[in-house]
Amino acid sequence: MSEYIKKIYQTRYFWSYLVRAELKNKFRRSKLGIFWTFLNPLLLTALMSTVFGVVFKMSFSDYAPYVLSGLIVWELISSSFIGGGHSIMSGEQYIRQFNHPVLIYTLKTALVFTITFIIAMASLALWVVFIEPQNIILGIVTLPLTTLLYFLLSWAITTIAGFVNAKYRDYPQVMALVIQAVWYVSPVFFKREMFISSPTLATAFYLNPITHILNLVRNPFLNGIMPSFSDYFFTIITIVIFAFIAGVLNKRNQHKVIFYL
Amino acid sequence: MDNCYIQMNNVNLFYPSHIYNATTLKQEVFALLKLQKKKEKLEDVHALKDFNLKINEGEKLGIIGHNGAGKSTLLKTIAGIYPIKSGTLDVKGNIRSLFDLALGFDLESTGRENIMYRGLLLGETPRTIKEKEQEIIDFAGLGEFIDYPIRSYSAGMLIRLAFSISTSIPGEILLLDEVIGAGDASFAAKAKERMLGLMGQAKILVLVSHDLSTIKEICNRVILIKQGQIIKDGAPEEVIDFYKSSI
Repeated sequence: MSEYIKKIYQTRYFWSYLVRAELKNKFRRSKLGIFWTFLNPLLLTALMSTVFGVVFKMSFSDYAPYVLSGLIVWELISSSFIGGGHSIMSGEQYIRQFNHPVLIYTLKTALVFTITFIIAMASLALWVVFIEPQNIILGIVTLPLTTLLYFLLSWAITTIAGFVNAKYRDYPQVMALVIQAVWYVSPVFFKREMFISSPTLATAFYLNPITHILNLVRNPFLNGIMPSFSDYFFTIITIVIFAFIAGVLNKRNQHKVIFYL
Repeated sequence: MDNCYIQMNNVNLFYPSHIYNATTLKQEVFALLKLQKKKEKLEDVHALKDFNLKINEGEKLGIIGHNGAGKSTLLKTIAGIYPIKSGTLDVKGNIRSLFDLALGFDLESTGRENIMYRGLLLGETPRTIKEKEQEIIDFAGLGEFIDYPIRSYSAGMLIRLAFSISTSIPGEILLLDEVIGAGDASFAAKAKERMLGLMGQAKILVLVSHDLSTIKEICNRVILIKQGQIIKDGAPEEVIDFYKSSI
């Protein structure tokens, strides 16, 4: 284990460069560059809040930050599940030539997603500064820990997705469907009030880890309160479960995975 | 200081058959529900059979044999890329492998960025690469093209850059798979000289090639492989003559 971590550390120059290169390529392709990552959730929010606001009859100023925060976090989760599938396959050329730890390729992908998340968070922070300036301090204070937890979650999910996708090439299509289904039962756009109409739904809402994962951002930024103990608890338990699965998959497949590429 | 060596004892390596029976999640689920028969299984490919080999410091080992005999597999096993099923593999010394030079370039990045990339991949630090950068660029002879994205390069330019980078970093154990020459005639001469220099610095050289005259020129020991086993091991002349007569 410690040997493995040492190996990951030894290759740090390589994978950190992969991260930089991927971000650079991502931003090089579009004219707006990094600004697009910042702008995209804002535009989507404007669209969604208008549509949903009319359908569910909610005030735009209330609902828009809710949608924006949901969108940003959801993007991190769904891209870890779906886009993360490509993580190991994208390292194929390196894996075929060097026996670096396979986890560095999923680490790279998770870091790219996390950095994208931070950039997108700037748009939420900016919004909060204008709408609820009193919340921004608490938001900024809680953000480092939240980001760390999100990163760990993303790395675990990306690792699982990477190994599964290396073996089963139809993984992204199947996963896209699953993720879509999860979206419907998660408070990404839907507000809590929409879930408490029936007790079963309310329980499901509370037990859904995504509710709590989202709260890590929503409670401080939107409501001006610390995320609750149960928010941290659910998030950490989720990370531990995914990390455990990722660890087992890695142990069993790290050497074999080359045969699937 | 310890001597470098490579020691393989009773190594068995299989290519598991399921990699040829590509499966999808859909098939797995259908097979589970007994809606669809699982595809017929192919046999595992036994690529290295009870393989014993000891390479000592100072040896320049050539590996010859027919296509599919297991030459490249052996090289990649030594490099630690393929997992062995049983037996032991013990390698002392840091390994530098040159398999497919053009693999792993980022086409969107410039030549200069790719030098950094490659160097880091080979275990260098940003600082040491910066020091070598100019020498690599000069050797590749790409001029101003070094700052163009490499998707604008011709195949020859790409191989020249790849060669310059890969050969700029020495290693104790050098593993080579058919990469002696590169580029046009003028570059090929330069490349050969540089390659010989790199081989000279290495404490152990393992070379896979179909070019028997190159093997004879460079190596001081040759093994002939057939179906994952060594069938002849000895001085270059002897093994190469045996191989020629067996064709």
